[in-house]
Amino acid sequence: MNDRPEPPRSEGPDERSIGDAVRGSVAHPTDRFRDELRDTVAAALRGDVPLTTASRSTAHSLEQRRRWAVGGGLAAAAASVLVVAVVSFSGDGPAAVVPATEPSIATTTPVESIRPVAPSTSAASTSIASTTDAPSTTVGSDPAVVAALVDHRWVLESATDGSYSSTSGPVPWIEFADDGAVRGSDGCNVFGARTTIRSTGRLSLDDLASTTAACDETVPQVSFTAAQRIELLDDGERIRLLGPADGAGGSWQFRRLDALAVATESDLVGRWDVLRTPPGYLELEAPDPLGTATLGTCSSSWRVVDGSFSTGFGSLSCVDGSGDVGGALVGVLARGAEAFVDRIESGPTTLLLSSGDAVYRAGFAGRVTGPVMEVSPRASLPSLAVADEFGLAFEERESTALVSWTPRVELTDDGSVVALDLVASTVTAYEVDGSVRWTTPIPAEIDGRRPWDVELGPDRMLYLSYAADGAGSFALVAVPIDGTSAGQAVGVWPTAWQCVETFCGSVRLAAAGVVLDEYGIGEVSVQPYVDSEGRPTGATSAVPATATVTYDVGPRLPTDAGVDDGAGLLLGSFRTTVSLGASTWTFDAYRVAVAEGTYAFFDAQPDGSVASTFTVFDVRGSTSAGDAWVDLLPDGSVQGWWLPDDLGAVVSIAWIGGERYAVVVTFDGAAYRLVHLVPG
Amino acid sequence: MVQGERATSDADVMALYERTVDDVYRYASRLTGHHRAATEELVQETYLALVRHVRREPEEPVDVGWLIVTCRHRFLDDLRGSRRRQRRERLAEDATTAAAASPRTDDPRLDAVAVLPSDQRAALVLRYVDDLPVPEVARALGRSVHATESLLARARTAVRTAARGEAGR
Repeated sequence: MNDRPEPPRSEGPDERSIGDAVRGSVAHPTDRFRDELRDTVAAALRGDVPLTTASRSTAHSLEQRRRWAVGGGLAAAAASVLVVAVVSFSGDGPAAVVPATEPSIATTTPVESIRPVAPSTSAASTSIASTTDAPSTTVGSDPAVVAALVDHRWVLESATDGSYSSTSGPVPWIEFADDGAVRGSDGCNVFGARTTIRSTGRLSLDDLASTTAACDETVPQVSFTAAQRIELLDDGERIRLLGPADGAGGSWQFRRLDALAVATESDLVGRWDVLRTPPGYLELEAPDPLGTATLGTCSSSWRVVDGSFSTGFGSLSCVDGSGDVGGALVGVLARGAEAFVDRIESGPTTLLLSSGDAVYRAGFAGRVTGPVMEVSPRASLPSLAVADEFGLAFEERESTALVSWTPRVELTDDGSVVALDLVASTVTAYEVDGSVRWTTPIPAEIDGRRPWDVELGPDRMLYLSYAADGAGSFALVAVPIDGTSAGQAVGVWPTAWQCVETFCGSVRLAAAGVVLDEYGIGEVSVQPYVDSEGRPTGATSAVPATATVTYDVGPRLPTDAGVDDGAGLLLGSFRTTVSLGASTWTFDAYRVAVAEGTYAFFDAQPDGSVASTFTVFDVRGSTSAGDAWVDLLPDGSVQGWWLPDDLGAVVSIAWIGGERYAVVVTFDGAAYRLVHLVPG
Repeated sequence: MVQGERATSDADVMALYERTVDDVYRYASRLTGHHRAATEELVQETYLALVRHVRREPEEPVDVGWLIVTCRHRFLDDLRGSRRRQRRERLAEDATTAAAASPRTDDPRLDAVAVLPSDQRAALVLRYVDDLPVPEVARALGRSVHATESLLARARTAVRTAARGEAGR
């Protein structure tokens, strides 16, 4: 056991100042917010607030949640209001009204989708409007007119009252159903109504019912529900709704949205509501016991191209457009337009959509064909227990002007634990019982660079990368562990400092030499192994790792994971896809501790199909509980384990001699321990 | 109800709310860079999570620490979910957005923290407010320890630079 006393925190003056800045910031809730939240909490305790639905994407969801509390949830409220009333078109005069089956949003209605918009089949060429207001011919009496209106979504193009800007916010829309119902969105709230349209074009929207969400104050709401007249324009391509006094009170022009239109960035920017998964896709249990978001927001700051989008767990996000990911979903997401799905350029698409109490795996039929091989409730994972633990004798960190370096610890294949002690400028290898196998000094600094990463290579050589604060380059140095020389410079590795964030600077071992990952985005470089005299003992090569596609198929994972090409060469990092041979591997977790969520491994073929090795697994549990540890085994299966709750922060974990060991740091950051883990 | 005890009644929960809402809000505000709407959203979710928790685990004690941890997890969950998509635009966009949404203070360091990219700000909060060791910060952020150190380094550099810039004016 480690009884080493806690070393003092080494927070220098500079760090203290910055720490004070972070700690010193003070903010207080407004009285209004405090009161509203008090009401919400009280309502939640009474069961009036749907706790499984969480909105995370609006600044005003508090009020929204209160309003919808009686509706049993966002989607349910929206859905229920959409079936609020129907009207039948028949005979002369105003249409007969059919009472609503769900007359109030106070009733919970199962979530239903807004159905996909069917392709246009008969664009009307008849203008509804006429110069007279002759009564009694309903739109329903004219099949051509009915066909012109129904089965399309009409999206707002312009408004004369200045309430709509096509460059911001969700796009308002309206739909007419052949059974007479009308529904729409003003860009924030969804409404349902029954409508009467006379042959003159005079229109009334009756029994209007709407959600009453508080809306983004920066986006003016469109008031086209005040429309009193409708005109059919451009051979049925457009309609215009006119407000009171023949449009003097405002008019709103809509264009017909045909199915499967190509979405543009402006179509996607805005808030999205996930309503359902398409038929035939597996429904998974919600991995997040705290409830997950049903809403997502596509920001204009995220590039969206070609209608592509992707989603992370629990929230919808947008493809940044830099890759060639294409989205291909029909009718899953609903917003102003359902025309977001157009094509796939390459590769499969997997979406995991959460609706609060369920997670849906959705994809494009024929693309993601791999079965769900394993769904592992986290609670069912076997546990690991600590069999033995040993203290590791090195200091936690050394503060420089800017950086607190932590020790680098590697569990090596030879059964030792190699630790880079930045205080003592030594590298020490420990046995699995904590005893010291060997220690060797290393250069404390090389051309202003500090030690950054270490690996124990073949021929008893240590390979260390050195980095400078803030910019520039890494240097790779080989140092014999027997202290016979001070080390050999193997190479200098220029790179942008920002790429450190994406795991560059790390040193990894491969069959051909030392992998410098990453040399640049999507690239790695391999430096040859050397002997104690500095003579190359391995081949020099440059390996372009084509990180072609990155998919969001789950929550972010804490990992340095990589893909092994079979020759010991690690390429890429988690959540990237790399091409190796005939396969393209995308991976999310590889010997890493994961938070609860849903994860996937799959092997994508160059033609975009998915090979049989496709695994989705679900890790569930409290976010405050310990971690589950997940291994992707060579046979493609997934093995998950519970880690003990009090284990501490896992720095590294690996199999050593067929046994599982972990290096952990205690939660106070003071002590490092080598822990032998066994099934508990 | 005292801290760390079971919330056995609705009154306990409401009492806990009254006692902790300022602290939770302050913590959430640090995470969001004082973006009011985001802070309110986060605080609201935290307390709804509290209600879910006491419904599910009525025997489990809850206190302000539980709320802070929950608040942090909610924020980090969202942060992890948005990290990749934001990576490329983050440097340019985040600072602009945060600067527009966050009130300026008299302390350039505070302003600098407020306009940091959200993951850098989160790293600083976890490191200096929660006093987590770097590996714990790394785990919370879903990054390697190396990457977290670089994140912290850049965050500190940004704050220092901002402070120097203000001082030099």
